[in-house]
Amino acid sequence: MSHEPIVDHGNVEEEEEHIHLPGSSVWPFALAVSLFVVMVGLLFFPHWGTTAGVVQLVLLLVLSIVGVAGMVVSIISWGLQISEARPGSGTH
Amino acid sequence: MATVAGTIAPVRRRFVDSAIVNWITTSDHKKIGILYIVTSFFFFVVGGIEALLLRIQLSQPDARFISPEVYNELFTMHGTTMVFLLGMPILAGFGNYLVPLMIGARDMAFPKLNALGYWFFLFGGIFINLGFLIGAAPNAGWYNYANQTELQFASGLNEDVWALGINILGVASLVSSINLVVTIVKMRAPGLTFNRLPLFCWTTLVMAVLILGAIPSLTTSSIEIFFDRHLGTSFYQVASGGDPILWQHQFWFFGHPEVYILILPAMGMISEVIPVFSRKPLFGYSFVAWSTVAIGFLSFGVWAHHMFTSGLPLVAQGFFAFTTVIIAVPTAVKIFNWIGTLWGGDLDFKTPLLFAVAFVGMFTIGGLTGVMLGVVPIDWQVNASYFVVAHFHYVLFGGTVFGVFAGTYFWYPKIIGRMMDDRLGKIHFWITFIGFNLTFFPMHIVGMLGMSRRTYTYAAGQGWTGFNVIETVGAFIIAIGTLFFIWNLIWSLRHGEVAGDNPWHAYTLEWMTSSPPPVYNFKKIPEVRSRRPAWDAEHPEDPDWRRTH
Repeated sequence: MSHEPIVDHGNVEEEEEHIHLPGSSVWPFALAVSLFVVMVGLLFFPHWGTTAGVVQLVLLLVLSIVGVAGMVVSIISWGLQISEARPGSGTH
Repeated sequence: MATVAGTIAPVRRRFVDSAIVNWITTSDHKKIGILYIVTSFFFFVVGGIEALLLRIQLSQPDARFISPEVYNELFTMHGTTMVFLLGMPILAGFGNYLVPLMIGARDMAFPKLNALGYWFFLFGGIFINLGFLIGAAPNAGWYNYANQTELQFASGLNEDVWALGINILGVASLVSSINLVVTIVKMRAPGLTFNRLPLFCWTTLVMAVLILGAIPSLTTSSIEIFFDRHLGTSFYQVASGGDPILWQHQFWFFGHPEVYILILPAMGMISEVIPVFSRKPLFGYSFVAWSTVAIGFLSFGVWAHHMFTSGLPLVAQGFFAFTTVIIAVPTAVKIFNWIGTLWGGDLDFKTPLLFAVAFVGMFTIGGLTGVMLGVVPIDWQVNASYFVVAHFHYVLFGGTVFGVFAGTYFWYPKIIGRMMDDRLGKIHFWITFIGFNLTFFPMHIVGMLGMSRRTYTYAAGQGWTGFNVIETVGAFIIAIGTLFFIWNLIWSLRHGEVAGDNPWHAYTLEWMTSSPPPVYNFKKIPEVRSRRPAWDAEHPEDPDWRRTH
């Protein structure tokens, strides 16, 4: 009986030392935190027909602006991040 | 200055290299999968504690264990937690961990987007639970019917927390689904055709497509709630020309596919478990795969069976009753095929198979009561009663949760590198199985006796007390079983038997790499020639590809 290869390692794409995987990034985490801050800010959005207090308006504006700014910074930084190999994934 | 810099640099390096930063910044699908699974399980415990508090309140007539306001918050958050913070993310977690390994890929298609999906989920979960801290947890039920959500009926922040939190979670689901679809479609190993794709990947693919179709209906409608409450729009306000029934259509257009989003990957899990512990290929692979597609397609055409009592035209009621019965056909095909696989198999009743077989039985009961509820006159009688609560717990606990338990015992050795203790697993299974049926089976009866879901309390002498006592005892038995599960998870981390690459002699690609797998998953990308590549590798004298494909 001939033993043909079952899981064929002959047609290999990459050797281990050339495996390239994306490195780590803090920006997905930062983006999620920023969205969270925006959403907390929106909780201070006055209900229709009610008058907002000064503190409420300040919290709404500060949290929303900080959160949106964080989102913008996170997205841009993510886009600009130089791709680095993941530790343990090879020599790149 | 140089001294300060010289001091700071190593501290900074230690921080950057620390485990917590490593986990926060990871883009490795396996770590992200573990994060999803652990976080979801934490929320499972939270949702379970909420359920126990509800059960204590209902264990006696005229009870005042908690206030009606807190009761409303607890049942709302129990449902929201179990659907959005347990069911969907734990399945996404297993999908994240397993799909690349099962298809012979080194990671997901978009690894950093994958991380984003997890962090959105985590912060969405924190946000929606934040309501408890500020005394304004959501309280209008997990399906949040308009017009209970309108300002004149809900003036607190409760509904704002729900609407905004659901949006974060919705985006998390969309991000994760896009990734799963692209990964499965584009990154399969050479030779891994759709006709050879593991069924867990098939069901995860259909789940992801369903999420992409269904979630936007939920997120847009929850934004409309927010607009009604804050900007004076009138999507759901009758007085201003809006229509609360619109919410029901929008919600259930998401809500019924959601049931299949929650059950299909669990079906995929047991479709992997049953053949391995029966020592047979799955009976009728193609039927199981294509019935999954059929269920996905049909699931978008059944939503209004949740609305039979809302005044739908008779033609619409007939149509949705028909589609509801029809969708039972591909579901029954699956059940037939699982039984066909077990039939005549060399069964090895390890814990994964026990949960998988229990899944088949419990899900069948839930499916049959679902068909009953699709019959309009029956639905008119028991709509919004505990009969419905029993039905969906047989589907989502007896189905999804049992499937996840089967999958956890099955893949834990691959993820951790050690076996879970089978004796503790069997104790967990039997306690959970008994507790589950004690809790939820009597709900069928008490529902038909007239007990409405979300009842805060009830008078003695209505014939409900005995059933409610049994249900509460059952709920605590489930909690005890869960403690055994937690203990087993923790104990096995250090003391479990070393697993080796393929301790179950299973069939799919993930078992052909080490346990746990290396960062890059496979040293060399495998070429697949059948549906059971690991079987082929272990049995070169009798490979599948020589016989069938």
